[in-house]
Amino acid sequence: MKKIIYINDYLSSSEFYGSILPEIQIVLKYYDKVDELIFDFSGTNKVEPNVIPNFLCLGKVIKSLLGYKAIIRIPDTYEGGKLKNYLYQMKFLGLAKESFDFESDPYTGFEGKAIDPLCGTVYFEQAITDDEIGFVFDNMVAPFADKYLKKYNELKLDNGQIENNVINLLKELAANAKDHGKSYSYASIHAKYSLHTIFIAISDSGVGFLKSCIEEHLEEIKQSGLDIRNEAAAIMYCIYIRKTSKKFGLYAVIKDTINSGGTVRIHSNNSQLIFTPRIIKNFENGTLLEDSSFKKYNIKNDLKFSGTHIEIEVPF
Amino acid sequence: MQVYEEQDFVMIPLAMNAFFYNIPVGTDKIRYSNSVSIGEKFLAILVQYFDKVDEGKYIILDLQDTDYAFHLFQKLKTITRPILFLNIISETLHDKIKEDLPTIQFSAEQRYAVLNISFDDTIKEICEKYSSSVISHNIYVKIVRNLIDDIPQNPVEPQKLDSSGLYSNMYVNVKRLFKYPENYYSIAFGLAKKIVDSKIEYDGLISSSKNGAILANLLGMLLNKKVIHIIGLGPKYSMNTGNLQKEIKKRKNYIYVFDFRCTGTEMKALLALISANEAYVTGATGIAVYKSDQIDIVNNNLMYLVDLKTENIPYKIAGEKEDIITLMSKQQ
Amino acid sequence: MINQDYQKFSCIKNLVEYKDIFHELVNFYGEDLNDKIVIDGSVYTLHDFNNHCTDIYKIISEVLLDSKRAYSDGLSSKELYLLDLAVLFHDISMSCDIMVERTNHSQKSAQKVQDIYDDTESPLYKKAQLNQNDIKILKAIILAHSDVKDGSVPVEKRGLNDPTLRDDMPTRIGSVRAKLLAGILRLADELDITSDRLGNTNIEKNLKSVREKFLDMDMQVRSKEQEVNQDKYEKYKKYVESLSHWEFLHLFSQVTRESQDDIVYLVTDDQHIQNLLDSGSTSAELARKILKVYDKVIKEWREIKHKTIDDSHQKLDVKSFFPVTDIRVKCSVDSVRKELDRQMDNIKNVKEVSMNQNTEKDFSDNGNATENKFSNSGNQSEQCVQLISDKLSNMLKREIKRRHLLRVGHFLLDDNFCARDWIDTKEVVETKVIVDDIVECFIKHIKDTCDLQKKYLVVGLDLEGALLASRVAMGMKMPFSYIIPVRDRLNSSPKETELSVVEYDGIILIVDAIVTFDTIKKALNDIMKSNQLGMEQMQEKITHIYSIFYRKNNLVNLEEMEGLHRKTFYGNDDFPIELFKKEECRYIKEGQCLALNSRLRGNNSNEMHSNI
Repeated sequence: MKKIIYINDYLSSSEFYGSILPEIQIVLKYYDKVDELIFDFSGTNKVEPNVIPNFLCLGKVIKSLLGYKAIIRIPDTYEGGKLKNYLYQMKFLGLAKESFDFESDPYTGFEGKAIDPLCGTVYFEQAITDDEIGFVFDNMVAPFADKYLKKYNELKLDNGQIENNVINLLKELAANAKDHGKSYSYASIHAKYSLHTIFIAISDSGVGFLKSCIEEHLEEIKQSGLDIRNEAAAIMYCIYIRKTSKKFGLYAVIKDTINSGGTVRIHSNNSQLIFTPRIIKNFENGTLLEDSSFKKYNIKNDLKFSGTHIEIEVPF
Repeated sequence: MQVYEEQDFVMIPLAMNAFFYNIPVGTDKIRYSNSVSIGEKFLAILVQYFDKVDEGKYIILDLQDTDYAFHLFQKLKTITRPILFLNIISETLHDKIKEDLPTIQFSAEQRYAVLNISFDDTIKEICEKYSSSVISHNIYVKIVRNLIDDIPQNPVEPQKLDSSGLYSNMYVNVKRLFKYPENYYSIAFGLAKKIVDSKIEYDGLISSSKNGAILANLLGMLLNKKVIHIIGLGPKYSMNTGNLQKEIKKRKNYIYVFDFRCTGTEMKALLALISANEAYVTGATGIAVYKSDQIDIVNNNLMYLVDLKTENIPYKIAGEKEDIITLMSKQQ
Repeated sequence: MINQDYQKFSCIKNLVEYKDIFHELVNFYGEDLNDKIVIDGSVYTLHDFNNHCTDIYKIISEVLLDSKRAYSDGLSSKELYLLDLAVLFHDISMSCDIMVERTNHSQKSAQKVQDIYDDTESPLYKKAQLNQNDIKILKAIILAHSDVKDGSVPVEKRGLNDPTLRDDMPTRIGSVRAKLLAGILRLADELDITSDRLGNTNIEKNLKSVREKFLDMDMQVRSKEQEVNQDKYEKYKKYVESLSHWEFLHLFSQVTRESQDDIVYLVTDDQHIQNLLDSGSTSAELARKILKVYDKVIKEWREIKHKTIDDSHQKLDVKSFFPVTDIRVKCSVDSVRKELDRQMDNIKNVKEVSMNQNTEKDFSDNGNATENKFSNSGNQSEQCVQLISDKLSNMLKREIKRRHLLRVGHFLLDDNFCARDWIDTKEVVETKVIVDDIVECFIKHIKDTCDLQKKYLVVGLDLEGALLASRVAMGMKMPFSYIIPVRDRLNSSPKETELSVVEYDGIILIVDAIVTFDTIKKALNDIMKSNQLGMEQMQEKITHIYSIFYRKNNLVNLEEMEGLHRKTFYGNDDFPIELFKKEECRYIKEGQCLALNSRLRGNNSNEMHSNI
């Protein structure tokens, strides 16, 4: 049986989590009945940059679980041409070949504007070394950070050098994915001039925050007496307990982002935390979990998407 | 709406019409694409148009080169009159229509479908007779017929063709085409389609007459190609080659764009000019020709929308005024 | 249980002699409307009396009608009674059964009213004091409140176009403006978009779980795994369809009308919007959703205004008690409001909403906006030729310099003047990057300053003008043509030179460069003659003149331009031109001009023709 998932005209993160994932859940439930899965982009005009790593991970997951590649359908029209052009420039098409089939040639009929060539997507396979991760970030992401991410620059006291917190965070996450999660990861960066916003996203299909946190910090957690039973608690732990750490800069990145009016979304397995400028005060005081509106609006507990997926949106 | 009407039916080529209606007023760049998407807006206009068609006529929709998103065609469920769908070529389109209109009936080869009526011999005949190119062709012929001006009768004053120095009994007034947006959109779309379908390799478009220059300009926008205008060819003008060396690049391929090719004099002059600059003309395209069976340098790559002779439009040319008058009186 | 809140609203309070009867009817039929539909233990209401009908009464009383004038000398008591009854019964076919097709529910509701009236035991027949004519009017209003889209009614007879719906339908005493009442009901129905209508927020959560169940059921049906209850499947499908509708209802908190300017505001629920932003939605998404709702409302309003107020021969009377002038959105969440402004700017179809530079940063559409546009250009009429955009000007300057398109030497300008340089405008028009920007700029200016309801002809002067005109006209979907300058007439056939302009309301003239306006004036004189127009008519017809370059010069006085310069807009004026009177020109040797572009000696120039 063929299952077609129609994508909305604007594929945003919330559309991905709200509409596409539930449909995938259903497909997985009926895995033995479905032999062809099509993502129909006929009605899609724009894809938000932060969805790209998620989508790539999803493709791989589908391939491994269902045994066949999902099909992407982008029509050979002017609008389709614009979409293909964007996906090509974000280097999605090249990376998607591995996990998706395209119904029609995705490399024809490009239309539309060019984006800054510094933007794009990178892939880290599972067997990659730390050095190689560093190499990719220094070559691909560093020029981007130089141009757009100056606000995240920080003078590190231990080595007296100015480092970029976002780059460090991405490096750490990619390394975590391969070490703890034993997984590949994808990262996308895009500076969108029309919205004056920078989009940075990294996704992997690893084990998520809870497991990796416990694995790495078991002793510390035992000593502190904190009760970390779910993903949300694990994420909060990782943010705060490593606040002053030299390596893991989640706290610094979130703080700089929301202070600049941006948003950070951290999704781990089945939980998602969203940090917005509204919660700045509570964030800095560390009293987020006591704020009932934070728990109501900024934590979601029923979105199943295995692995760690972090998205940053910040105006520039 | 561009349609081809006969006594029993009305044919609507969706790609050509959707191309016109999809573009919002105030777009500065319009591009041609291989398939045109049918959106909600166009479908609403189409459904409104159905209400204007006579009850007794079939409505025939030509779906060649079209696509649509979501469950758009479900809106056609409420239509009660018979509709024929022709040229459902792509499988995805076929599946979508099948899902949206469960009562639809497909032909054996799955290429045609009918709604609210059954497949009988008349329908089959229509399906076989009218491929997409036939439907569009009829519309182009209709547009070109509207452009033809007969010569003044009293006294009879044959039209002089400046480029070749000959006389004719009719004048194809391409300038008038531009006064009807829907018509010039359709022509531009048709020419762009011809060029893309021919798969000719070319780097730019070249023209040598005013109307040709305007057509080439529009095609250049649709196809995103460089356009060069060489004005002033023909017996009255001398060519200024000063600029041309710069514009016509060596070893590049060009497609010549004309509005109406009568004897091909201008084209021959241009071909000579291009060759002299060490470039190539790989094809020629235009709205109408008089006699397509002339042998040209461009040979097989002459793309035109209407051949006056084949359409039985009694266009005649002669060397002297008196000859034309004689020819015309013979006709009568 | 009927909630008695509805009695507070002025459109009910002013019922006078029909008040008691009306309350009885509400108590009887309102209960029917309030019958709840239960899905899996939850409660689901959309077209009930307590929420929907009450909201409509509120909107009619507080937003649409003027509370002082509507009931004293606006609507007659019969009209008010029929309006209130129409509100009560308009959705009666949908209340009990979600399965009723939306496409023809107004028809079904009207039929149901007839059925109820035909039952001689019903309160509607026995107590309502309505005769057959009154029922006919009531049915017509109910039928017109929503277009019947199932194909049984032709387009030109749907909704307010129904020929049986008139503004003078007879009753026992006087006549009833049924069309006006239908318009009021339609607008009120459309404006009931706020979260007031939702009632209980649990409904939404239940609908979401229904969506998941439906997806599951859908898969079962497709894979034919097990027999699925077809009725339940269809019902779930309908519920899922309503889910998206419910999402929109949450975005607005109220509808108000400001008494000082009679503008209706759709006020967004800022708290909820902020919550949505916190939960991960983007401002762009929310702005899009708000605009979708607003779009629908404004389209409906325009049509109603056109058909009921503007059309009516009692326009002024109606306006006195139905004073709504415009509908706008009010949103106080900064990021969403900025997005709304930006998206409104991007909406290319000018026939919809246009930007209004208001301090409150809300936006409007309607005749006022177009009036503003024209008054702007009116103010500018005092000025001279105008620069369109600095950005375009800088780009042109840069490109001319970079590509060396300013040729220096000696050139013939026209019969009276020579010049020391000229710009290769042919190259300009053939270079993609330059011409794309020029066309974009011209099109934007035309959109902002022309009344697109009129029929325009875009005319290009000479080849470069014709090429630009073709691009501009294709983008604006306007007819276009070209003029061959007088100096070239000898070289063209008469058919090519003719141009008929009488059937157009306005002409937009496009040229490549302007120096003395001479060629334009000559061309216009020619058109005047061939179309038999007077000077004033011609002047009026030309609404805009666009030129890429405007080359200021030392010899020609603009004031002699007969008003043309006031309608002229140009891209760049950084290249002034030095002119010489021909009789004083030094480059005439032995009676012949040595100008570079004088090709055929003694004849007109022009292959590399000069600027105009």
